[in-house]
Amino acid sequence: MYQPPWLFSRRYVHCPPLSAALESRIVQRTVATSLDSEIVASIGLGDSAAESALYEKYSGRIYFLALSELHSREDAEDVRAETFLRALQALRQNQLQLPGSLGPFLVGIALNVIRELVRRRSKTQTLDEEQLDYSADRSLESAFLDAEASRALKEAARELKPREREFLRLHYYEELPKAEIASVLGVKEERLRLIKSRTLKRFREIYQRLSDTKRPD
Amino acid sequence: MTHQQIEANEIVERYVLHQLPPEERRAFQEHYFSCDECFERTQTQARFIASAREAADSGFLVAGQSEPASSVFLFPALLRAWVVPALAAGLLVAFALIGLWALSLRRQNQQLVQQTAERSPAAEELRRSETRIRELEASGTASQEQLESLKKENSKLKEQLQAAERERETHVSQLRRSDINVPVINIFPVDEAQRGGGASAANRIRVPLGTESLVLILGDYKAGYASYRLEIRDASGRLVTRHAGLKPDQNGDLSVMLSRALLRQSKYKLSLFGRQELIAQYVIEIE
Repeated sequence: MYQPPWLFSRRYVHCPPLSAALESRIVQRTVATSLDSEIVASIGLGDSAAESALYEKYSGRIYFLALSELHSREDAEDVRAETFLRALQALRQNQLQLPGSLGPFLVGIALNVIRELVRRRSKTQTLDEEQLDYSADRSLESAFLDAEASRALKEAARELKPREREFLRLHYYEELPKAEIASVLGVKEERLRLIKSRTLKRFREIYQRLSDTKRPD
Repeated sequence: MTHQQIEANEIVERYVLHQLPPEERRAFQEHYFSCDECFERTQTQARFIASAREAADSGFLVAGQSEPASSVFLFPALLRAWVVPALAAGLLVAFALIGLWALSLRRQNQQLVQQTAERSPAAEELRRSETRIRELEASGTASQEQLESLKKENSKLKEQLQAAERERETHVSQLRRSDINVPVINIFPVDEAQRGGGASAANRIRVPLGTESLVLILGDYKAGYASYRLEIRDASGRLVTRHAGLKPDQNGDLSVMLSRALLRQSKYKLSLFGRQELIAQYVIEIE
């Protein structure tokens, strides 16, 4: 993977008294902002490596945003390509006034591309676009499900009590309100939140393990 | 948007489920564009929900279900390795379940006895009256008149009880009887009904006398969901009943059987949801 030289010019001060987590968060944020400004400036100067860096950093996020909106992998690919095309055109002409706001700038372009895509396909124009759920005719599963996720969920669910599995079903599948689920299962609402976060944590661990195993290196 | 707000308001899950208002949705998108941690969490949450739905759809998340039956036959080696402990565990679970079942039956029985006593004061009254007659006859202190009046009261109570018993038996036989000649009615969404039926948006339903239940077939709904949820509200907006897990049959029809006792002569609004989204509304008018 190509890494432009300025990617390593991290201008932050290391402060020993900070906790490791806080330190890593501060470092991450400082690096993110400084890199964004540098990427924007370099693209404005015609640096093609900076364009690659822009793609490297944001392509996953743009794809995910489009997938969350449209629940279609093909459409998400199209949105990613079109968003980068428009973003690069604007950045080459130095149209971004605040280089630090590269993230919101890209979100705005991606949402515009999505709206245009939906408008082209939609037969009726009477709906309020702000309220429109673009993903309504496709399922969440078609967008985000993969073999590892499916296996990880089953492994995590096996560690649950029957009542806790029932909670997952009622919450995510039947989509019953939490108060109703709590009354059906005879547990407090706070307990439901606990079950959810515990299962999600376990799912994340198993998914990570399965994904690492799958990777060739 | 801070991490504390995101955590407290379950923003990540609500984002994935499209439950955030547009401004919050946009704010969160801008947030995860600059926050690796939230981006990673959101991706995981999306995969988690998608796989939970898939698991529920395949019956995996039903309480008590541990693994789909087919996978056992796909892995015979695994089956051999697990067969002994699995059988032992299965037997233990079965014993525990039988014990629990027996306990719950006993508890149910006690509740039924209590409910019967509560619902049938005549039976309790009769029992007391018989005890009193026996006591008075044994002690010999009661006058002939007193005994006569008590016996009259006693026979009246017996008649009341017999009438109650006859009524109960009629009820039971009605419940055992198959429901025949059930009206099956196609209903259409509000806009469809307006187009087809002129001015009125309501699907008018004339229910024949003696009908105890009716089947509604919901027409022209948006397909593409694994299951649907139906809510029925009366004219004042009060929830009459809710049915989750409606699935299309082999012809793609969604149907629901409703007890006539639930529906009076009035208008009702039926809302059909696919996941969180309202996908069709029907109005029925029972005549």
